[in-house]
Amino acid sequence: MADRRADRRLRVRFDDEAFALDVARYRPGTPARVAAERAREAFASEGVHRTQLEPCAAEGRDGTQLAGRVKVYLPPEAVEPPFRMLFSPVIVAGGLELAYLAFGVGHQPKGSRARTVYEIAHRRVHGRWPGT
Amino acid sequence: MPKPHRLLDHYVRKAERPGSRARAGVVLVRRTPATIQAVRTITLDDPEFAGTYAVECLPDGRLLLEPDTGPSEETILQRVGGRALTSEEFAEEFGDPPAHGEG
Repeated sequence: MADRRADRRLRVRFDDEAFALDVARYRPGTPARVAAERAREAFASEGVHRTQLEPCAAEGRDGTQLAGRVKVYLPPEAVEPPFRMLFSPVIVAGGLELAYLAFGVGHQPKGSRARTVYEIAHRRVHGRWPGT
Repeated sequence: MPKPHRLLDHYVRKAERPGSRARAGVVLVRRTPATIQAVRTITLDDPEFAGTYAVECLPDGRLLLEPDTGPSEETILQRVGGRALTSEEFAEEFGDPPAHGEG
């Protein structure tokens, strides 16, 4: 029997402040900005299909600790999607929903000082950067 | 007159000596034009440092820039009005993370 949970969509609640800060790291019209804005538009109106979600690692290679959070890869149609949107699953009025947590690149190019989406999410969850 | 963020870049690069706090994600820069002093956050448009930074003026006149990561998860959940899943509820719903350890 198929898992009925896999067939549903989960409502997403976006935090305007967090989302605005995340997209401000990318110029208008760049692939990252477009991917984030399209994802928000789609997720806010249609929700996220359960099969798109993947649990984050409790202990990532980069030292991030994001047990209990989930992510989607963006753009969804890309062969190797460079961006991620992370969510905190929440129970609201007895139902499972997703709270927006962070958006950004999954891996920074070598030598880059910019933070990955996992590092930003870790900071929002734990109040400090990973490894500090 | 260079744009403020270009000046910041200059001082950021100066701060990148071995042992500099810049390597720990905190950038110390010297005081730059008056346009910087009046604000609490600043948005840089440089490809390497793009983003919004919280600005603190230290007593000795240096500026401390730290990436502004916005609200905590706790604040976000309070705004949503929901509660986080227990570890048991999460495992039941989403299972185990993949083994690639990406994050």
